[in-house]
Amino acid sequence: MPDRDLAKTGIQGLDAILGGGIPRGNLILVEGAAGTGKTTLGVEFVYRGAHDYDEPGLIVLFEVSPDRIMREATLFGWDLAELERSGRIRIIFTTRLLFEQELQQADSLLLEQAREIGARRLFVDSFAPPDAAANGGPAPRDTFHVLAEALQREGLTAVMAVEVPAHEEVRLTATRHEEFVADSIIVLRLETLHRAATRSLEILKSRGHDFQMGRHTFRIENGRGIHVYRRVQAPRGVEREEAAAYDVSRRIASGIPGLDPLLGGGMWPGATVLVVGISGVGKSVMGLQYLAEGARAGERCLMVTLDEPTAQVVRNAGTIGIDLQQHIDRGLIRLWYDTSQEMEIDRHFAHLEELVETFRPQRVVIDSLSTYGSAVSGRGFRDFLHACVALMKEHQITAVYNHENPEMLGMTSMMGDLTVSSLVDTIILMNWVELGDTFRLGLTVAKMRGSPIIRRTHECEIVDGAGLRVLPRAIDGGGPILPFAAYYGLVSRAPERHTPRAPMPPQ
Amino acid sequence: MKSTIERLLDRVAIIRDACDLDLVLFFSRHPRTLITSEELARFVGYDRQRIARSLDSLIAGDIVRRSQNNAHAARMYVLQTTGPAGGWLPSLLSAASTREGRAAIIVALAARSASGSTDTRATVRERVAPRRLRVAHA
Repeated sequence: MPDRDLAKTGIQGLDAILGGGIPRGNLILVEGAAGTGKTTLGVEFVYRGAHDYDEPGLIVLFEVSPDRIMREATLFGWDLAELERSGRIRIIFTTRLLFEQELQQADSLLLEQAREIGARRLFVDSFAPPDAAANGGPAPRDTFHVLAEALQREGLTAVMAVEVPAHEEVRLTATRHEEFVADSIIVLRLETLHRAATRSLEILKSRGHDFQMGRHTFRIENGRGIHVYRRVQAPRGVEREEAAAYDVSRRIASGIPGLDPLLGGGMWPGATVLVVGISGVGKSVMGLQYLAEGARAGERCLMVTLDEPTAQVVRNAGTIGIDLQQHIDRGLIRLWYDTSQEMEIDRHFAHLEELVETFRPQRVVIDSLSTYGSAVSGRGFRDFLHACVALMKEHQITAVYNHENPEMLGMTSMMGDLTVSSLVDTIILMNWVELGDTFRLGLTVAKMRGSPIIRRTHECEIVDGAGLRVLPRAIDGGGPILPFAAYYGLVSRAPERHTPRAPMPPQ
Repeated sequence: MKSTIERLLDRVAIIRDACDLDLVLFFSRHPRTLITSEELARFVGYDRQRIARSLDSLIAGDIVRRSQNNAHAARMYVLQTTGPAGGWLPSLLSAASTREGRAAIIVALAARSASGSTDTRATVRERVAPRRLRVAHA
């Protein structure tokens, strides 16, 4: 089978979504309301062609003057003036009517300009099909077809910006003849969530090749241009999870004194571990100890912190006797803080993926899942976690996800509204238990795939300067503080103390 | 003592009135333009006859090159930034880049016209405030 002749757009992230590029000669409509980034995308398409791929290009403008386009291009580091001086691009100002007339003439002055520089790419900003009813001319579809023929004759891969109404319902009800004729359609949108706005890009159709459907996030970044982030929901392929070789010969030490025996000796390599509990029970502490244990063993460890800046995490670690900075300086621990405010989940995941693939950690702590839940809608959260779990498993990373359960005493569900516990291999519940006048901390291993467990609740404590430890079930106290073993129903809301006559639960 | 603008205009004999100046400014913003003379007149804000006269002048002075294909309603105009005008053109564009600068040049052109040092083709009022601007303020 011959290689497909694809024109790379050169726009960061876009070619991956397009399956490598756009079939050469395609006519691409870039639709979007005002301010969605159509002009930037089209100009970058021509710029990258001329600058990166030695494919000269023509930019045809109807409303924006070329000097403004050049001025804006400098913000992205694109020197259009130099490319024009060296004959690799030409920027032509004209009117829509003339453009349509010109492309229908064999000796078109416009196409002559394209031929003079050997143009392979064209960007037109912006196209509006003629209103046939108003001028009694040919049907819009025919007119557009003639334009498409002319561009194809010249071998130009053309991007045409098309303004559409911002309201999706209006766009869908309008008859858009050009959409039937065009080979590819890319829709740019400004997505609003509450008061925030993000940009999205969707490929509606593209003849002659496979592409990734759905809405992908993109940004317009100063000094770079457009950066498209594949939607995290995109099918990641079964091979991603199957790439992992599941090792049963070893266990991963948690770094929490007393916990590993409850886990049958430790966590499985590549396991997805969920630590659930209300704020303040010690989930982050557990995560820090887990990382420090890895660093002590010479393993690379990554912590994704969404709620606390890295300096604060380092300080907190110091209070439990962990010199995190030392491990960071040695290159064994890396902290990545990304605020959840106005989080673009596709971009976030792309960065996480890059970190995993370049830093190659063996341990990862995500602190916390519930913060994603507040930043991403329900379905989006589940899709993100699916992709995240697949990524970690592919790289055999034992990943600990902290999750804040809103219930203070007892638990009626493990994950509240975020029902993704089926994705998780191991679940560790942490919750407060009120005994007498004291809140004491309980820990239960509620689920562990691939290992038999006894779901007993153990008391644990956080000791200043030493961190979290799980206490043995039988504490040799003898005083008024009794061990958890002296009670029933600790995880429920009403613990009861054993009476001397009551049979003790099995130890 | 001559002002900077006066000294500049001494070098730019080809710019004789507001229409000439505004056409050069238009082509500096749109260095490669496919357009009809009617559309050009609308964009720049003068009548077609004046545009035609100024265009002829700019083309003769090798400031603008125009495609020669008469079969087309539109012509391709290309600003010649490396031609004979290259020396003074950047200075002129820089001086006219602000509203005040453009107005000062037009006043200076009008004064030259009144003193007979250049060809008279437009009234002073028209040069300072072209038709397009007058309509905008009406």
